[in-house]
Amino acid sequence: MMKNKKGVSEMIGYILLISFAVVISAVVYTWLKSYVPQDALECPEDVSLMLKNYSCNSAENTLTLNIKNNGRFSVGGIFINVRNDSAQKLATKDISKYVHNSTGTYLGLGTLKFKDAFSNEDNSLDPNEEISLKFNLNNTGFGQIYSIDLNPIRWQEEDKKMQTVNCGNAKVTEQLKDCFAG
Amino acid sequence: MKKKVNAKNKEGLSPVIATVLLITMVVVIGLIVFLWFRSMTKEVVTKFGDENVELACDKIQFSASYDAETLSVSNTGNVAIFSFKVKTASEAGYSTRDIEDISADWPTLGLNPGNAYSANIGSISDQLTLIPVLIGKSEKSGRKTFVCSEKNGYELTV
Repeated sequence: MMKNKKGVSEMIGYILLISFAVVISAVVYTWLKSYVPQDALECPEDVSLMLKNYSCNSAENTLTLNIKNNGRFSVGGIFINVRNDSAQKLATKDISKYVHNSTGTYLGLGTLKFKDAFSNEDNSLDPNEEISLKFNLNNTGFGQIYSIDLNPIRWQEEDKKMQTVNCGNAKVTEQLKDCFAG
Repeated sequence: MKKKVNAKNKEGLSPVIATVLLITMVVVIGLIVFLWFRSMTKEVVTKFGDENVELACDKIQFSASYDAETLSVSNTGNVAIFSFKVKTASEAGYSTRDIEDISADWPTLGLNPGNAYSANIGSISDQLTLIPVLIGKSEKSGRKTFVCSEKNGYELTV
């Protein structure tokens, strides 16, 4: 008599199967969610700065840089490192904190923000504009400076927050001749 | 005369109560199974919100050089590099050390975007590979370091 055989009710079987499927898919979703790539912080391609000229004043121990925005997008600041060792290839000495506060503000972590008396915007150096930055290098012990690296920074809105974006692809390296050569 | 069995007098659970009990049991069993499965999967370390730290490794950009026993590194990307594993090759084989063990000058919080580092690390004989180490968040253990794969490393031939 087939009706007397014991077994799991079909209804219970369906419920259990569906529950296991839901649980397993929840576990897999939680794990896979972290592998969805997010957009990387990037600068627009045509961001560019150039070092128009510079002067090294050995008497006052000051370095003055005239920087021009020769790109197509506004720039908000720079990371600036100098090389004071002729044997090295990379500039690794950060001088941003020695900036004179009339044209630049040191924000910490190597970030130097341009100051513009006529603009409240974060990215205040517009295309074709120039800025002069003065650095007081007294008591730094740097000695002769062989080259300088200028890395543009932009402030961009990402995920509804203003983020500092390093435009590493637009880094400029300039060799300095006889700068504090003694 | 045969007595008729009155089916309505049979004792048993009401269908409503049975359904509620069944659903409750399924939810509880499902929760137990879910928690058990989660403990078996690899711990997920994230960076920049919900993104897996392995994906952040691919966004790292840095340049390095080794000259006159001085290692110089410049972070040219937008991902902070917490540390490096320094892999050196010699006749005896390979050895890997943390950069903090080689140089006391390595910044405690790592190398932020746009920053640079240089220090004397002594003589290296042949090949040097810098493998980035990132710091991310994990639900179980809070902040946690993650060593990127060697393909994200930077090789310097001395």
